[in-house]
Amino acid sequence: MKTNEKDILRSLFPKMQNEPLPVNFHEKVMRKVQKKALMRAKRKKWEIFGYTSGAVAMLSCCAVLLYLTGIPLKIPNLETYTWAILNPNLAIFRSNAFIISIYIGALALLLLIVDSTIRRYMENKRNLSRLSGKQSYTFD
Amino acid sequence: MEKLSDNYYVEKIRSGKTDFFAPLLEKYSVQVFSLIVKIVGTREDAEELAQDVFVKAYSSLSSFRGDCSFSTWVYRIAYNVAISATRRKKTEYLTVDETQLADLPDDRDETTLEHADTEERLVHLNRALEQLSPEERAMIILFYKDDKSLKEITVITGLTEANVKIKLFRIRKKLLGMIKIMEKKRI
Repeated sequence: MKTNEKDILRSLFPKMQNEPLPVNFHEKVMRKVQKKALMRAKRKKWEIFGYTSGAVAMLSCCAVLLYLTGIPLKIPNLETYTWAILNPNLAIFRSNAFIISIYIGALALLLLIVDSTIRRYMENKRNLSRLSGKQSYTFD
Repeated sequence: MEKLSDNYYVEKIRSGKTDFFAPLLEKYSVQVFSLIVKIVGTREDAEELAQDVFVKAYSSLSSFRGDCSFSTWVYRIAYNVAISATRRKKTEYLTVDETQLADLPDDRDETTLEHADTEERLVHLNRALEQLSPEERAMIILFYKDDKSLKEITVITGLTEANVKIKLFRIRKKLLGMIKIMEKKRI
C-alpha cells in the first residue's frame, strides 16, 4: 500500500520537537511589558496635563475678555452679551493684547490637538510598518 | 485551576492590569518561539524577535477586535516580524535544483520513503526545511506542525485561501522531493 504524501508529513511534523525557551524568557518579556505600560501611563498623564493646560489657557482668555468688556458682566442679558461680544467699537476689541491672548490660547489648544493626533498616527503607523509593512492587525 | 479564555485575559490587560499578560505569554511563547526559530534559523535572533513579538502584541492589544482568535493574531505578528527580519538580513537561502526533483519518478520514491525510519526521516525533514524560503517554511510549519487551518493561515500570512492551498501543495511536493533525494543519496 502506497503511503500518501500528506500522511507522511502529517506523521512527521508532530514528532518535531518544540524549541526550548531561552533562560528567563518570560521574565524578560514581562519586564519589557511592564516598562511599556509604565511609559504609556506616563504619556497619558502628560497628555491629560497638556489638554488641561490648553483648556485653562482658553478659559483664561475668555475670563480676560469678560473682565475687559465689562458690560456683559454687569448686565447678564444674552442679547446685550452677544451685542457686546460682536460690537467692534468696544475698547477691548481695539486692544491688540486681547486679540493676541485669544490667538495664543487658541493656537496652544490647536497645537495640542494636532500634536496628539500626529503622535498617535505616527505611533500606529510605526507599529504597523515595523510589524507587517502595510498590513494591520485589526482584521477589518 | 480553572482555565480562562484568552479574551478574559485580553479584557483584563485592556483595563490596565498588565500582570494578566503573563498567562497568555506562558501559553503561546513556546509555539511562537519555535516558529520564529524555524523561520530565522538561529536561536539568538529568534529570542530577540520573540520578545519583540510579545511586546508588540501587548502594545497593539487595543487594535485586537476579536475577529479571529488571540492565538492567530499573535501568530500573525510573529510571522510578520520574523519574515521582516529575514528580509532585512537579506539571507541567501539554498535553492533546490528543480530539475533534479523533476527527474525523480513518483512511484519509486514512495517506496523509498516507506523504507526510511522515523528518526532518519526527521533529520531529512529538518534539512529539507532549511532549504526552503522563510515564507515556505513558515507556511508548512503552521499547517502541519502547529495544526493551523487554511483560514487561520490566510489570516496569519495575509494570502488568499486559494493561494495558500497552491503554495502548500508546491511546498509539500518540494519538501518530499528533497527528502527523497536525501534518502536516495543517504546524506
